[in-house]
Amino acid sequence: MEIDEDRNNKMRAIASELNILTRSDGSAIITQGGSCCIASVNGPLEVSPANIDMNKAYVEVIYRPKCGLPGVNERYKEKIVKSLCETCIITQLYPRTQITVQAQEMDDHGGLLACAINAVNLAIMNSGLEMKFHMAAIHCGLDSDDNLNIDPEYVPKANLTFSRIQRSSRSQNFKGNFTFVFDSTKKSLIGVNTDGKFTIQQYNEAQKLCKDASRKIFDFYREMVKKYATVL
Amino acid sequence: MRETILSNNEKSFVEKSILEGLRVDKRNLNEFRNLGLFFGQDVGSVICTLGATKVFAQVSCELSSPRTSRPNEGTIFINVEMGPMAAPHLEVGFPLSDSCIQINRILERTLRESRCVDLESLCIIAEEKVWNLRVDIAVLNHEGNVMDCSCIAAVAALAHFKRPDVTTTGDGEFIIHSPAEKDLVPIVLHHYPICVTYALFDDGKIPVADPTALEERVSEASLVLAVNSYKELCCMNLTGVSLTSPHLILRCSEMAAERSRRIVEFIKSILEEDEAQRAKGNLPKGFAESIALSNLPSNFHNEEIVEKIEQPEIVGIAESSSHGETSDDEVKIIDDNTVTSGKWIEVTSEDEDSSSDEEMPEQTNTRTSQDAPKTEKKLHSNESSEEEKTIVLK
Repeated sequence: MEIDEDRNNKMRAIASELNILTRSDGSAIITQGGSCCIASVNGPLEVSPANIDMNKAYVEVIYRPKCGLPGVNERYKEKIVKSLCETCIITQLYPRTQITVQAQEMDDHGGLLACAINAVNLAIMNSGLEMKFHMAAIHCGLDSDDNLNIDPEYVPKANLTFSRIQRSSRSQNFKGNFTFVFDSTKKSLIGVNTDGKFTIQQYNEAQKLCKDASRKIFDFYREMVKKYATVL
Repeated sequence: MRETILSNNEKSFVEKSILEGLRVDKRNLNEFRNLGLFFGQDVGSVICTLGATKVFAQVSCELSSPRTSRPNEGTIFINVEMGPMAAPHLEVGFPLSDSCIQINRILERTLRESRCVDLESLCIIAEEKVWNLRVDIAVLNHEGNVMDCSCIAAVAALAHFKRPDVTTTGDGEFIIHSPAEKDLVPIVLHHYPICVTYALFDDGKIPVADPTALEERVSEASLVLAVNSYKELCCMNLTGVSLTSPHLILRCSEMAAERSRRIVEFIKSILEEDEAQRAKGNLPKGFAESIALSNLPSNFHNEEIVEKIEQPEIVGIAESSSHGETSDDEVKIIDDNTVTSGKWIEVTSEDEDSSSDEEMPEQTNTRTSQDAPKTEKKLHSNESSEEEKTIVLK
């Protein structure tokens, strides 16, 4: 499944494949431009006594970097994805169980958090867990000339090697980075993650741009359902 | 979550069918699943698929101080991770699962202790600064034989990886060049060790190549042989509870050597393709392309797309040559083939002569009876006469 690059919205090409893992209940791999992420969902499963919740399912999220041991950044991303999953899955339907979500980054060319959230959404969709709504995450970068760039591609200089030294520099082309997450029913904001310096006007402008762009992602989800839900 | 219990019915079904030379996924006993390799955009990143088993590997490098025992050598670190993505019962973090530690250790022995990576070339200043290579292997889907899959992924990723170039000025100073200044330098690999796993059944008499997750759980033992393309044994690991014979190990290692040679050829051909793409100046599209072409075999598209490694197998060769021949000549042709088609056959015949091992003739019988045109029947009779010979010899 592929959506071609649209120059007006400046969204990168998205491609995805569902159900690529046999051992998981739901799985998806998604590439947005050069960024690539794979996600798997298992659940509802037996929960350990320490995490048991009588009213709803316990959601565990694991986020793995492509190399090196997971650190603070990965824990932070886990926390973001976890709170989003708890919002979009109807966890009350699966009390005293556990839902395990794992995301693995594979290629980082900017906007990886957005890519991971979209992958997780597709994986949950594929697993058949009941959802309140779908979520679409969009990354937006504020460059040094105060221009907003929707879903920018990190362009590696020449034939870039991958070493841990260069890892941290990946998204630092921009002085401000925004990741907005919208729901599919009311198109309202359900999550936001920012870093860097920006004004409140720039923030509002970025949110508006991302909200418009989120329609592309939801259209893409619709195409995916059309392609995979052949029984309906 | 605990691992799903294996029922006695499943267990005995697999065991009995293997005694008859049959496998749940219709493969022959020494047939391997299809292998696929997909390189990413970054150097040293690769997805390796072996049937439905999927593994992602990424090599990275960083500067560090050398070990005091080897001051002029770089270091290599291998990290295998199996989380709930691989299989629901697996957990990430500490304590590591036994299977994870085992794969890690065997890989370390295969890659580090066989000295396939030229660690001396990773030294910048002796006793002070060396490159530290790190191979991160993430198991995405555990459908059996993660060992082979992660070994192939690790070797391919190491062969694909390139590190930044370094110049030393002599007075203890050095400059790391960015890729824009100087081309990246590949890692020097002396040889490519490839792990080949056999699951042992029937008191260690029947080796089953490339076991699935189910077969792994049912088998008595597993034999891992790491062989490079020069037929040198780099690592051998026998785990489980089973007796085995030296003949079986010799036979398996012959087959493993052939398998290894083919895989190394395959890795090299894929590497060349990738290198040619990069040399043209267009950065490969990486995994995006693989998805767009539906190259990554999923269970949705349940076709076997990547079919580049043929199984190193006796009857397979005989069959392929026998198609379209007149029936009179066939037996002769098959005879020729069984004599010349590979060294391991000689080993098996020796094996049958010396030890009372009926397993190989049994296998071939069932294999040939599967698809049964007239030509195969002749082969069948031919084989069974061999079997009679062995019985006489006993």
